[in-house]
Amino acid sequence: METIVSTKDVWKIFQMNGVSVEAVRGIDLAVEPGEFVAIVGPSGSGKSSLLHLLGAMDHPTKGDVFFGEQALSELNDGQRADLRLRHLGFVFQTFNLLPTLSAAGNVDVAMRLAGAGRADRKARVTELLERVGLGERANHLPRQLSGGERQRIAIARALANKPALLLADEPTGNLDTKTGAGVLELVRGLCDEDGQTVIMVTHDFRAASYADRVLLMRDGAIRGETRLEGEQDTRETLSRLLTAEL
Amino acid sequence: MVQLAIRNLWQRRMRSLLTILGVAVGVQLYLAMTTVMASAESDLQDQVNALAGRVFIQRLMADSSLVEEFPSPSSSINSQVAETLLDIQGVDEAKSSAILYVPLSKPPAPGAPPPTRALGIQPGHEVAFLGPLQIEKGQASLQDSQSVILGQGAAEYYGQGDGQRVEVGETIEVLGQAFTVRGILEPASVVHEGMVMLDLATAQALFDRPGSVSAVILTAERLDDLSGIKQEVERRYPELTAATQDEVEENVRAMYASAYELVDMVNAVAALVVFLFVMIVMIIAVMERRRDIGVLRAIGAGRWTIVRMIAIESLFLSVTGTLLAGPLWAVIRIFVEIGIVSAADVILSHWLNIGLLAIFTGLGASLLPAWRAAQVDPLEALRYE
Repeated sequence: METIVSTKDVWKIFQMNGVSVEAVRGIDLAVEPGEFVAIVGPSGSGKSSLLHLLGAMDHPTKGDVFFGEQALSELNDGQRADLRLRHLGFVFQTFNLLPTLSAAGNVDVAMRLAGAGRADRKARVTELLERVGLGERANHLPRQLSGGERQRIAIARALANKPALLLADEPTGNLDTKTGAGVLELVRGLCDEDGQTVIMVTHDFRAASYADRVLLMRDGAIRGETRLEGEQDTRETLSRLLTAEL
Repeated sequence: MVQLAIRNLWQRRMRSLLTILGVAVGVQLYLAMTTVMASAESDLQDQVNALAGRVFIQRLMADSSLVEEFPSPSSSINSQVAETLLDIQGVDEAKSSAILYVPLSKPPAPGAPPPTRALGIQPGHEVAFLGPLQIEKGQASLQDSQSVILGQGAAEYYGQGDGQRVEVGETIEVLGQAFTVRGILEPASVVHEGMVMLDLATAQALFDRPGSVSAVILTAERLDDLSGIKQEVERRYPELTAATQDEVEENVRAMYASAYELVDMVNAVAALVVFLFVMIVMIIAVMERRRDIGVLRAIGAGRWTIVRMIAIESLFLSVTGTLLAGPLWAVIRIFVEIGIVSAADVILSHWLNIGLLAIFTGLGASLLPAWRAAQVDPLEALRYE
C-alpha cells in the first residue's frame, strides 16, 4: 500500500561538546494514508527528533526520509519549505501562534504563503474555524484565547492548506486533562471524518490511546508497536506494550 | 506578508514612531542642506545672468584669492586709468562706470559676502552695476551726492528691527553722514541685497579713497565687441584682471565649491545616520521576533519570504519618515525663522532625490537584518525548555 511518509534506517546524531548523542537510531517506519500514529516515549527518547525528521525540518545524519516516493535528501531548502507549506501541517506543544495576528489571521497566513486567492482563503478560514469550534473567536488575538482555544487555532492553521500529513508534537503538553482530551477528540475526528493522516508525539499514554497505532520509543529506537482496535482494550493493550518493553 | 509586516510594526508602535521621527529628522537635515545650496545656486545663476554683455575689470593684489567675490574689496585702480578704460572703442559709456566697493559690516562667515556694502558709482550710470534689476520703490537714479539706493537687505539692516526697513524718503547714517533713501531695489541676488549705492565722489571722500576706485564695469555696445574690449584692456594694462560673464561665473562657482563639498558631506552623514538607525532598529526587531520567524519557517515560509517581510517593514519606516520630513519642517519653521529658504524652495527634483534616498535606505538598511532573519533555523527558534 502507498505510504504517506516512511523512513529507511534513519539516524540523527547530535554533536554536543565533542560527545555524540544518537537521538534517532536506525528507525524504519511507514505510515499509511488515514492512519493516526502515536509515538510514545519518555523525555529524551528521541521522539521529537524523529518528528522533526518526518516533517522536513531537520536533516538525518544517516538514512533517509521519504514523502511518498520523494526522498527528502534530494530536496533543497526551498523545496523542503514548500513541502512543509503545501503537504505538511504542524501542531506544537506551545501552540506557536503569531501574536500580532488574530485567530483568523493565523489560519489565513498559511494560505497566504501558499498563494491562495482572497475569496478561497476567506471561505477556508471560516470553514476551519467552525470545524474547530471557534467560529465566533475569529477576531480575537492569541493572548485573548485560552490554551485549548489556541491549540485549536493551531490545528486549524495546520489544516489550512489541506496537508497530506498532520504532525503534532506533544499537542496536549501544555493543557489540562479535560482540555487536552477535547483537542485529542478533535484530532481523532479529523481522522475518522476526513481521513486525515496524523503522527503525534507524546509522553502521555492516555493521549496515545486516541491513536490507531502506537509506537513505543526509547533511547532513539522503536522498542515496541501495537494497534489499538477499540476503546475497551486500549488500556490493557498499552499496558501489555509497556510491560513487554520493560 | 505586507499585512504581517505592518502588524509587526504596529505591535511595537512606540519604537516604530520613534524610528520614523528619527528618519524624518535626518531627511529634514538633508532637505535643508540641499535646498540651501539649491537656493544659493539659483541666486548665483541670477547673478551670472545679470552680467551678460559686460566686462569687469579689477586690479587684484598679489595675495588676493582668485575666488574673491566681485567686486573685490582689495582691488584698487587709479581713477585716471579708469577714465581711459571708459573711453575704449565699443564701450557703451552710458552703461559703464567706475565703482568703489567698501564693506560696511563684517561677513557672517569666511568667504561669504558682508551683509551690507557701500557701492560708489557715477550718477546716471547706475545701470552699469544694476543691469536688468528693477527698482521696487522710488527711483533707480541717485539724485545728488547725499542720495542712496538700497538693496532689500540693506533696507532691513538700517530699519528699526523686527523685519521693518527704511522707506524711500527716510534718512540713514553711514559713517556719521546722513543720506536720503531715493530708491529700494526689488529682491535680487546676494551681491545686490546688501548694497548701499551712493555717488562715487562722495564714497571716495567718505571712505578716504581719493583718486581710487575698486573696479570698472564696461558694457559693450554690441555683444560682438565684448572680446575685443577685453583684449584691449589686457593690452593696455596687463596688471589688470578683465573678466567676462563666463569668467566671473567660474570664479564664483569656485568660491562656492567648498560650500558644495561641505553640504555633500553633511548630506552623506545624514543619509548614513538614517541608514544605520533603521538597520539597528530592524536588527533588534529580528532578534526579538526570532521565534515568530521560526514559526513562519516551520509552517513553510521560504527564506525569500522572510527577507521580503523584513524589507517591507524597513521600507515602510524609511518612506514614512521621509514623507513626514516635509510637514515636520513646516512646523519647525513656525518656531524657528529660517530666512534663507522656504518650503516653496523645495522643488520636485529634491523630493525625487529624497524619495530615491528613502527607498535606498529602506532596502539597504534591511539587507543585514533580513539576511539574519532568513538564516533562522526553525528548530532552534522553536526550541523550548
